[in-house]
Amino acid sequence: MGNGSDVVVNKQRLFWHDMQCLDIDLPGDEISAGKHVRMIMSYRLQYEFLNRCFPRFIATEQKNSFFLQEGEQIFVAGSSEFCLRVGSMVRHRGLMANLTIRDNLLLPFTCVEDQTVLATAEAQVNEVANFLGLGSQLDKQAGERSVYTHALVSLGCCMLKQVKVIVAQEVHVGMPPARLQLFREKFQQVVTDLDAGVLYLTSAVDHALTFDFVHTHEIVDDEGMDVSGLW
Amino acid sequence: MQRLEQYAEQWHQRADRVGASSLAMFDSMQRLLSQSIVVVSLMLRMQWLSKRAVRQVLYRQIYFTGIQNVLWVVLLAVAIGVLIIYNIVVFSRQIGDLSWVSVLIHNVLIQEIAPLIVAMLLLARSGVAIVTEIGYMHVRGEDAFLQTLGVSAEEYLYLPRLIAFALSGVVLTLLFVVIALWLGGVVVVATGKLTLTDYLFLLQQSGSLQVMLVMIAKGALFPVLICMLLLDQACQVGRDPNQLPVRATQGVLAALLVILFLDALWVMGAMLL
Repeated sequence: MGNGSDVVVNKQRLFWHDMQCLDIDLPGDEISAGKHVRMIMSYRLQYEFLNRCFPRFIATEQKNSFFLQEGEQIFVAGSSEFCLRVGSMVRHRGLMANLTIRDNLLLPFTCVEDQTVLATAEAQVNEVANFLGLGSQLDKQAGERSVYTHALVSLGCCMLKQVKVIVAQEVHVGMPPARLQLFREKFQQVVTDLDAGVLYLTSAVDHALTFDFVHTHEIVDDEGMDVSGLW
Repeated sequence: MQRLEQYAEQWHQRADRVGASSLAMFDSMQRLLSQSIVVVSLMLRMQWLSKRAVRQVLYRQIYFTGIQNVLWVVLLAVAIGVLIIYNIVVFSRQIGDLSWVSVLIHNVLIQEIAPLIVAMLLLARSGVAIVTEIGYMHVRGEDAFLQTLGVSAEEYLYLPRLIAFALSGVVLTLLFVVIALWLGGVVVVATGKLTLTDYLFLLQQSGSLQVMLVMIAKGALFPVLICMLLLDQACQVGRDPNQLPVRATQGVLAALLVILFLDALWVMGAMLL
């Protein structure tokens, strides 16, 4: 499992091998439908980890890469097939201010060539927005929004993409308690409905959302607290 | 001995500064070149045409860069272009050689002044907006957001702006030339400096395809260079909003110097050939 050698047929799984990240050894693991993994590490490691999972260009280095297996096919991190199948939820990085909420929800689909994918998403966007409580905001410009709204839009994108694996990075940090509870319930429901697996990156064990994590990896970073805020 | 050491130390520091500046300059040229290669290859692959988001950004950029600048180009053509043509005619009459009218109009107004003025207008009006808009996207972390969605920033953010700048540059330069020639003709005929027939005859004398091609090439190249330089500066903002005005002013100044320098090189090259 940690070596990424198991082959699962007709299921999606996100896996990565043991890797070195900023001179620190990170264990390999995998997430798949209903299987959640938590990684507790410092912010700088989280951001570097996300950079490996969602690189700017298609990853060529096999050793430090992420892979998504779907049946017999394997998609490498950075490819459009990978990004369309892996949900991402990064704290306060869930939307573009100069687009409407609708355009933000549809952004992953309006940047691909396949028009059928876009048509399917457009048919479902109203329903998804209503579920998330964003129905009345759909055609308003996003502008500067709270952490809660960023998280909801990210979740909405995951719902529209119908992903089976979600990579989340402390999306709830900064939410007021009432909204945090609302978000936890919605997130839980979406993950259950999609039968998705969650890879959750956090800096403290008590920050975790209410998931039953199969594995928790605690990575010690000797550099201490980092406030680079690269992402 | 001590003074000698101090002098040596001062010269070492100066050399360090020159070296660091040179390295920074080469670094930015390399960064600009690699970014340009990525954007040009994306444009040539033509996949962006089938992506709705990219097309929407392109239409918006053409509107802001091209259509919204039409009025300013018309005003500049009326104010500057007409004045230039009038002065060319007056000068040619004074030296008693009207053939200079066509030579100066084609070589100075059409090939030099029109592309430069349009480029400077785009730099002042749209160039600063580029640095602000893209720079602020970086401050908000939207570049990282696009990265997690697998959306290429080069294809979604940079390519539409480059295309809009190139198209707008060519069309606005053409508009400037047409208005300047037309209104300039009206003014010189109305003031009795030339008859209409003479003006039209002189206009077509030195006209050639080469003049048009140079006008189109400069009209496209200068705005594209401006856009690329300013996009590069915008990307250097990072997460620090205090860098926005710094990068905007540096970018505008660098772009202005580059297009003036390039224009001078072009003229020298044309003279040598």
